[in-house]
Amino acid sequence: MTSALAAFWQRLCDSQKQRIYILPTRAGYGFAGLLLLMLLGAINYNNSLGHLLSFLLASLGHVTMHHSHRNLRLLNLKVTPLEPVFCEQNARFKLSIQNEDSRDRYQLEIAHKKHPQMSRWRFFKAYEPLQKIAYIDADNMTSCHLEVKTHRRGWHSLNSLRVASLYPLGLFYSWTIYPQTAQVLVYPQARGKLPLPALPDGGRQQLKGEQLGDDDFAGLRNYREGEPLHRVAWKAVARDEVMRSKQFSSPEGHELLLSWQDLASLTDTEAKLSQLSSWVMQAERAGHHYGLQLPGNRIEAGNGPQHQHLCLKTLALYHG
Amino acid sequence: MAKADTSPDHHAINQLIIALFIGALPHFVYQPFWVGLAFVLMISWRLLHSYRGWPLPAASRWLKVLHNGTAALMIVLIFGQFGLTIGRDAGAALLTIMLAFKVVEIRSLRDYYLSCFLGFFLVITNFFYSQSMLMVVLMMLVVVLLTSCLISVNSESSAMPIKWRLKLSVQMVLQAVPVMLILFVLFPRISGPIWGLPQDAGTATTTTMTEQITLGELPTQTGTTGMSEEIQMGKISQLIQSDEIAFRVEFENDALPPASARYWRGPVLWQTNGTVWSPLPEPERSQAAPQIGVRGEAHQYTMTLEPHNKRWLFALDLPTEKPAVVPAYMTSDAELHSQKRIKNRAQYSLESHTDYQLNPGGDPNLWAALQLPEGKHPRTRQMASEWIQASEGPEQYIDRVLQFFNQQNFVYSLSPPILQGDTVDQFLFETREGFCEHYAASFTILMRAAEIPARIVTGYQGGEVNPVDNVLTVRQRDAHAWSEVWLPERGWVRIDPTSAVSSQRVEEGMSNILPSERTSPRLIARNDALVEVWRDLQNNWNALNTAWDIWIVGYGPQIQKTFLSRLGMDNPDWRKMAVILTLLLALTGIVMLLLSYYRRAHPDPVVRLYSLFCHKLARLGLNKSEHEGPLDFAARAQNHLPQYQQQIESITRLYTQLRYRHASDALLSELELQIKQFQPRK
Repeated sequence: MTSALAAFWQRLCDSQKQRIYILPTRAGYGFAGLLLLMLLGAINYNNSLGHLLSFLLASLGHVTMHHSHRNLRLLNLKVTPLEPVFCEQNARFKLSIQNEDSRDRYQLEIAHKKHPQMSRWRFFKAYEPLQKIAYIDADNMTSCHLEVKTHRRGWHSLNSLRVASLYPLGLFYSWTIYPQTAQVLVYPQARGKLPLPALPDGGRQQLKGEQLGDDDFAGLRNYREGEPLHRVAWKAVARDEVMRSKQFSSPEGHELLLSWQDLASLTDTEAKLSQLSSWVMQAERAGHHYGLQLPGNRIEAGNGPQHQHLCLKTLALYHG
Repeated sequence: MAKADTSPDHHAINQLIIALFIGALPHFVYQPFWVGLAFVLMISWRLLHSYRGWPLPAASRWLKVLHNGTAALMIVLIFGQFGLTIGRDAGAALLTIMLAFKVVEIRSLRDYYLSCFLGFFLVITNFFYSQSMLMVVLMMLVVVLLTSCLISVNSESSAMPIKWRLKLSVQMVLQAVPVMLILFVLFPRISGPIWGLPQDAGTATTTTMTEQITLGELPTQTGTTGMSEEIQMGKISQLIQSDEIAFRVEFENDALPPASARYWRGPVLWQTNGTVWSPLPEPERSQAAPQIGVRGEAHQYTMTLEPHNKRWLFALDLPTEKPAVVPAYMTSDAELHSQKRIKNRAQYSLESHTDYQLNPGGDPNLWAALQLPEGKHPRTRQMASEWIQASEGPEQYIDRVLQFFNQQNFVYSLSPPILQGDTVDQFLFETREGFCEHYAASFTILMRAAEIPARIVTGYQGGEVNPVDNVLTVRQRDAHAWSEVWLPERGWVRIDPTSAVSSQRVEEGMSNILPSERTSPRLIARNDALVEVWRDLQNNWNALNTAWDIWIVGYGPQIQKTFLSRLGMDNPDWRKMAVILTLLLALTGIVMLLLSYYRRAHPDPVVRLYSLFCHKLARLGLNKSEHEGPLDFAARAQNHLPQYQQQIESITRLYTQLRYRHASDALLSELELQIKQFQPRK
């Protein structure tokens, strides 16, 4: 008995940590108006059962409020950012919702705050719906992906998530806000018409990565998430079911320097960054050794997914 | 707010149609036939759209014209039928029809909500026609269905099968009951109407609406039954009996007066033109309070009077005081008059003495009790003057007249022949067949012709005692009329000439005179044992109905006050009620909130996990029945969901292992993992 009470108290305290807001919807106000009309009719005709029905429906509204509130209680959200994306692509997050109550949850609408600094009074418009969750079983969890369109390079944050619901009768709209810190890196969009700068003198002209000689093969290493699939050593996978990716190396002295100075023809900083981003992608695909030269920042030549990420990250976070 | 205005699916609309159809069902009886016809046609249209893909009005202009045109025609028909004032009937007809037309063109969620809400309103219109228990049961079903409709548009069918929606809806309605009861008892009741009521409103509280006439009532107004102010002799040759309840009486300590003393006093009639009897007009009536002398034990009782739209209050002959709760006064002829017309069921407590003296010292209106119509009833007058001369006083004369009724071939009949010409003479000397009003009227004429002041008292006589709750029920068929003569020193003395003709009527009450078919169904009327069982059932049912009628249907401003005083609130007024109501509501709200945190989980985690597994399958319509073992259930589930065959099998295997063989923590966490990852979809 005491343990049940303690558990009860714990749930009560837990739910207090998360504030749940609730307001009637338009249908809810309509319902209230209907009740008033009914009550007037019942009074006018001295109809006792009319009173009873009005009171039953008023009480039903009250019960609905409790159900609506309960539908958002004791939810535990966890957001994990997924891989970096290029600007204008959708940033993806993985959302896991844990239902810690002994009741199912229904019709949850997940929205995120589009602009971090939006007036408190226009908060409804500040949120953009992302995902609908039809149900979560009691004491169970569900997960889904959230995709947010990106418009700027740099860190992209969800700001805060709003979980809202009209369940069960659509008379009340209840919502709760979960501040979020998870962020996804957004690379500058890989865009630009300028051709990849030529390799330094003596270098071989290479057009396609596929033509890279076998002698440049440097070895295998464990596959890491984010590496291109064509690098996977499928034969090795077939052998022992471990994903490995092929590593290539270019001979010394064939380093490509992607430099800010080469982009004097472009005036706009973002356009320059986009062009550099595009070059990084091309160079990586071509299997070059490449470095990056930015005002006040230089990345030595390298190769491979990690190096590519480093370059793109530098571009994404560049402050001009 | 962020609500996508998508259109509701067919399932939700069909569900709504079922709910509305049940809600409109009683109106098919109450309203003209074309209302029901239009309703059925319109919902059929929508159903044909759902099942056969028939086009809706929005599909083409012609269909739109057809839809709107029919709607306009219906409105014209309604105005034609009910006139331009929107009363109860017209309003209900309009609502029923418009709802059906609305259902056809539901396109958005907004339309859907509107139709649901109007459906709730349809429910209340049914209560304006009948407040019986059966109606409440039917309407609660409609409320549950409409609630489940709202749930349907706020959840996905893949997440919540219809069975769960109905279950949730029942659960929510049940959870709404406590607050409903608090509001019902404590919400300060206001006595309506707030605005003017149309003519048809008077029937709102009567249980049936048959046009019935009792005791010579003229068929002037439809829908109301009960006493009329006037008695007309001869015009009505057939007393149409009504089994409707006039009032109910509950005696303190169950001390009922003997059957022969159960006279329920109503309007007193003084004036006659030879055929019609009427009360003394207000200006001619004395304002003096009656002088009442009493002997013996008082009877204390509570009357629950059905609304009769008149002002008199019935009381056991003779009440000694006016009621405390209903504003009323006592006239000089000891008639209780309410200040207002009785439009709602009224409840009042009274004290009466059956052994009394009324105005023994004289009555200011005695002159009116001697009036006879000019030149009427010559044979009666002649007989009276001969007999009074031969008698040694009024008492002897009265005895002689009663003997005359008793010994001549007078017959008590519920369907006497029609009287024409001089009604009293014809009755006394020719037809000699009649019921109480004939005897009371001719007796009174005989008295007045002999210079003995006399008047007619109308009311009820008898009543049935229900052995279940000891409540005495007086019905319209117990209506009665008797005479009062004024004798020096003794005052007004009640004399019932009908008892001289048919003592059975007074001693045993009306129901024994009625043919047995009137009191039990024709089929069993000849079998005494069955009649006995039938009567028992009827008594219990009547007791239940009495409680229902008084405490639920009759719960108005006045019964609320009585009830709250009984609960211990002294002098209840709306302020006190509001305070207690608010406190109780706040308390219930808190209790409900706290209760929602309480959870009762099965102590065995294995059982808990397995029920989660069953729950997930139930969402897809696979319900495990009680008698079904886990293996049988798994086989059935695998048949339905071949793509989850392996998962189901492995979970079931783990479960049976844990439950029936040996438990281990490793297996348990394996089961938990598997069940939580099991997300079956169709």
